[in-house]
Amino acid sequence: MNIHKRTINIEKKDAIPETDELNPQADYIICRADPLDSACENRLRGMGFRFLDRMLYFEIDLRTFSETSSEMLSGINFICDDRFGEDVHELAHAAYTTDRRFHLEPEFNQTLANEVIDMYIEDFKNRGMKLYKATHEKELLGFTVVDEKIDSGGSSFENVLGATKPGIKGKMVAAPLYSAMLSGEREKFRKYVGRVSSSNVSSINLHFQLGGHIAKTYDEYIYEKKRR
Amino acid sequence: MEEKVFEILSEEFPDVDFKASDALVDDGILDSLTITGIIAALTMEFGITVPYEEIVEENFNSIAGLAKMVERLSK
Repeated sequence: MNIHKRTINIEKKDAIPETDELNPQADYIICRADPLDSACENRLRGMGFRFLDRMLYFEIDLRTFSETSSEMLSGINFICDDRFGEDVHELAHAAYTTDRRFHLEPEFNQTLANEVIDMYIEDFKNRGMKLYKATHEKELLGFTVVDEKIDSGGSSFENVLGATKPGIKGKMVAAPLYSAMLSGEREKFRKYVGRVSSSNVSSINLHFQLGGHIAKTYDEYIYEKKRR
Repeated sequence: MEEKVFEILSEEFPDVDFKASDALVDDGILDSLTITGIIAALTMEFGITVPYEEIVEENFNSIAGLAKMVERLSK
């Protein structure tokens, strides 16, 4: 199955196009809207969209973020490369069991989610993005994907994907892994940005503890063309 | 040993109720930063190194598990 997904940012309710005009190829259309814009919400629901997730847009100042030492984690390496191997796919499949970026159906469907995850990773790979990884010997414990191109001025970078191995081994490396990413990028950038689901308490707490703040929020609504 | 480990960790992480559960990791009571911090605190306090093989849920789910691990690694 080849899944087509399209995301649209809505600034004003009048800017919402009809679904058929959006992308005739798309199986799923996702609109991002201001949570306080009830008129926009009503219009989207009237068009057949349903609520998907409320997202938090985090920013971290790289000059002042709270570093987490990894010195006590003997045998665990933090590296940066551009290899999106099979282990990256497998870890993402295991980690993302409820994330609404990938679980597009109302009921959680891991088979479909894995296909969406693979699409994301292939896209990142094709766009030449790099990864920060936490590894023990040859085992991948966690990774983050960095997009350096979101800001034309080059002042900020975005973490577009991050996952850690389920269980304590993943939890153990989450903070030092993100810390390694922020340390590695601060020579080039002043600011980190990342989108976190409001239902992902662990990631929200991690961002706060690294010194992050929520710059804005937005809601995502989804339209499933194939069901109609 | 249990009392000492409890005392050290309670002081270091006053917001965490280490006696709330015998499944601190599995119940999500210990987040990523706390787990990293526990390893750091035990390393500094007891002069031990926590090898990768010891970082399993069983050792971190309770004060008793942590104390046993420290005793084992102190020998």
